[in-house]
Amino acid sequence: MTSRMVAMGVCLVVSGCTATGTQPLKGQQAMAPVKVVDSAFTLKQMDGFVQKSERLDITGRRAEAKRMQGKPDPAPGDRLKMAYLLSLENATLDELGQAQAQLDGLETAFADPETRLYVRLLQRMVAAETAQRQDKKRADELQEKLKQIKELELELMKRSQAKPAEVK
Amino acid sequence: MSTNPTVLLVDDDPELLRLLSMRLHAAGFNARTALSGEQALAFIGASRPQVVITDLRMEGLDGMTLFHRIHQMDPDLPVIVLTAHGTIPDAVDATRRGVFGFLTKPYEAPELIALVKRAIARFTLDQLNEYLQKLMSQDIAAQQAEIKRLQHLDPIGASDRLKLACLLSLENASWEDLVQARTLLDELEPLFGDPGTRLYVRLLQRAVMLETACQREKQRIAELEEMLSRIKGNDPDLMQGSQTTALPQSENQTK
Repeated sequence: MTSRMVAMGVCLVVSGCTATGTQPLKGQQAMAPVKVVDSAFTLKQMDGFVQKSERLDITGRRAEAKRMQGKPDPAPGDRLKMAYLLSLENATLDELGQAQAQLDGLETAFADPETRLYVRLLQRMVAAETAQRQDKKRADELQEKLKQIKELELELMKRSQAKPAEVK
Repeated sequence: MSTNPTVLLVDDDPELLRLLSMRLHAAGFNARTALSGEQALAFIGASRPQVVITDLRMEGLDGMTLFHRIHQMDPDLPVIVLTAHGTIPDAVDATRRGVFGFLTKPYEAPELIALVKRAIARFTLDQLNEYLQKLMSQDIAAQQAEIKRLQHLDPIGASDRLKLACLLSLENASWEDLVQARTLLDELEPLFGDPGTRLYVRLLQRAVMLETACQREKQRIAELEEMLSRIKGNDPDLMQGSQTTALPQSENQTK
């Protein structure tokens, strides 16, 4: 509990709560630091965007994310929306990396404290999703390795049982 | 399904209910009506509104008794009391006992609408942010005491559920804490009127679910690595051991 509280303190002081141990992803590119403070953007606007994007299917969401990514110098609000679209269910690890890059340093770009809180949580969610995917991949690889060893062992056992018959 | 906030109107005067419903509907609310306190409680039990507006004097359960019953069921559900018989001491007493607002008939419709809006948005993310920051400025013992206090609330209101879920699901949270946070967040979103808070609850729910899944994968990795290291050590129990990977039960698989 103590370590958790210390972590929470750090979490609130430092921008973003990201899970430790996640690997940088292919799609994660360094974004230019955000200097502009978007004082107009609020979570109400984000809510409207989320409701709209929930009506889209995966292809539609991807197309919308791509369209937004094509914009030069996106405003902080647009970066937040992009990160949201890129981190929806069924996002690839590459897309999650792009979402992380969009969120990087974004919190301080907003004047609205509610939006800042939301950015931190989205960062945490993307980090958790990334870590979960990477761990699942690692676990599946180990499981496969174990399966191969078991198969090999069974094969060896079969061979050793078959040997006496061959002698006869 | 309508996403407009639901307001439950309770009055034994059907004409007044009709009039109020029209006004609330015009202001963008989903108005529901009950002709008695008993009917109102049945409605709340089946489908929680975001606000209750009740008359003070009614046959059967009066407005204040209804408020107390609602408060026992759901301490976070805001109740506004309307009365033709209101006096200042009544209003002071009612608000001291937890009633969100008190209006004396004849009231102005804009005044009522403004009160309903305030009641719906009464818990915002700003408040959550302030709460977390304030808690972080205190020492560890105070923070732990706060978690304990929240865990012992019975009944626990929506805002306290959200606060506790936030505290339980921080970095380095244990499996048990995450599971408890998931339970607290379950069906929490509709209890908030503020769109920002609803958005936050949905995202927190997803983050906690992913963190739970993450822990499950980590446990799986540890078990598989243990098995593989036993193979390297030529453990004779290998074949039997590799058949089981004891993962936490009763959790749904994520994608």
